[in-house]
Amino acid sequence: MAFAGLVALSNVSFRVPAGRIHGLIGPNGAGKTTLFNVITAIIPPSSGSVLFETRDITGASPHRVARLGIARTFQNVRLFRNQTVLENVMVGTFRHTGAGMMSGLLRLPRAVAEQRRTETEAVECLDFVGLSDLIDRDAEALPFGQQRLLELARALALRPKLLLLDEPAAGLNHRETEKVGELIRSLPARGITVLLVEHNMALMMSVADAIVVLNYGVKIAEGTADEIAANGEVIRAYLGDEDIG
Amino acid sequence: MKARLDRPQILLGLLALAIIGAFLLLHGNYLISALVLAAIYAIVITGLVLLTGLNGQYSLGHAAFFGIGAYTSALLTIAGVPPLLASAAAIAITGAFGAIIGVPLLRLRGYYLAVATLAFQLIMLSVLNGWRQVTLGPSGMANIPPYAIGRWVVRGESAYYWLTWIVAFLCIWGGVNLWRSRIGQALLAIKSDEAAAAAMGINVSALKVQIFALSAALAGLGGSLYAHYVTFISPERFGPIASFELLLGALLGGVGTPFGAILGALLLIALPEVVAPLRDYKVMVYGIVFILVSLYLPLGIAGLIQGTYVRLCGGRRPGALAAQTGKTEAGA
Repeated sequence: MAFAGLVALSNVSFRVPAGRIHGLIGPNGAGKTTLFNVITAIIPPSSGSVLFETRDITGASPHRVARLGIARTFQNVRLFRNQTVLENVMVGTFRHTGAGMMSGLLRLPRAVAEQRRTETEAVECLDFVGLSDLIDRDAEALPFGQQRLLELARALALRPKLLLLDEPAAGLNHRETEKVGELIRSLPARGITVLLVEHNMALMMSVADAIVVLNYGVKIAEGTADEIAANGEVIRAYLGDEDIG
Repeated sequence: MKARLDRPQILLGLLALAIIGAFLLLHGNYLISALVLAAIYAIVITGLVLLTGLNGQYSLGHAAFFGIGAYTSALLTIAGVPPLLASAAAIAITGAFGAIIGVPLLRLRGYYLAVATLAFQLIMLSVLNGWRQVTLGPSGMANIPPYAIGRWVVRGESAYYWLTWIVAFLCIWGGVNLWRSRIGQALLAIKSDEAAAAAMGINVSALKVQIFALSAALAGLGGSLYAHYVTFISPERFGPIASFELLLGALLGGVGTPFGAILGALLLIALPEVVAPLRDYKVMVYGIVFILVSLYLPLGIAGLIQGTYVRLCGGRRPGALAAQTGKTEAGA
């Protein structure tokens, strides 16, 4: 994957088995977010391909990728700032609802019924992350930790098959981080496969079934949490090495 | 906005009462004809409010859509087509124009978008002036037949009052519905963050084109009614100044809710009276008002009213509203 004249990722290849939590770690600039952007079609790869289930989704548009069931959160939390907490999550149900502009303008019974259903579903998602008391707040007015949880609820409203989480614990305090960890651990039971980027190693080690390590855009290791913790090359990449120029 | 749109029935009821009340009070008064024009502007401005308030797009070309609607309706009815069908054609043609020019406009944002729509406005003005075989050029088209619905021919100020205000009311109602709907909420999401909206499965380009087409179609509908009401149309009425006035009406009335379109339309009717002694300096005053509104009243008068209401009655601060124009509520 060549990006702005630099090779941001090269020959990174791995599989994320369904129903598992797959971790992705690496020092800053290793290409983790770039990889997320390639999977969600925000950046097209110059070579290589992204396969989801049995289909090749390389070069699809971002909304098509989302419609197939791939949801994501963003490293720097990107909420819809003009909308309430509930409305943010209701937008997340867009993928599996269908009322068009005309039925919206005329407020057809079908559209109203659909909206009631999505509202219930959105409240359930908010309940799951523990924000159901804050339904009518402005999304922007929430403290940062709750904004992260709201973004997670919004992604869950897509009923995703694969969920990409980009540093879901960044900026959170210890208690919030533990809560996010618990939530992530409960996702496979809901039929959601997780690909997780996270700098908090304690969190990563406690939730990931397997971990892929990137460094300078190259995959340097892959294995279980214990294997990764014992891997010399990984430790060198993180602690730095005088020889790397 | 949310607190208020949760119960739009109350505001719609008040609007209906105001429409009936104004008629009872002003029946026979020359002001009725001013209110007919206000209803027509309210239809067009509703389109602009949806475009700007819901989706963050700006148009300085809506008088061109207004004109296309007026000429379509005039030409067809002069040729013998029933006005109801002519209105449908005006809606369809302006909607199609909106969709066609909406596609290249997708690449533009904010003021660049406004300038591109202004260019479209100027092109359409040249066409109306230059295509004499069809539009009769700058001298305009006269003797446009009155509006008719089946056998009922709309004659007299009172009849036009009811026709135009019922249509305006339905447009506001539709706008309020759309605002709360799945598509409306998706349009608001696009306005805040296109990449995040796409990550929800929203086809950002398709929806932006759709709302632009809807907005143009509402201008076309307004133009169709206008042509039959005034019975004479000429290109000068559909130029850039008119586009500017319509956008000013939308911003002044308030783009945070479709009800802002009513306020904007009424102001648009009142403003020329207020600035009449200034004659040639009229446009200058518009410019100053425009700057003041964008600086101090980003959500227009509707936003000001709502802000005051929230402050007096407690409840939610109008922060969500302020955020909708991407500006802070500086002076309010």
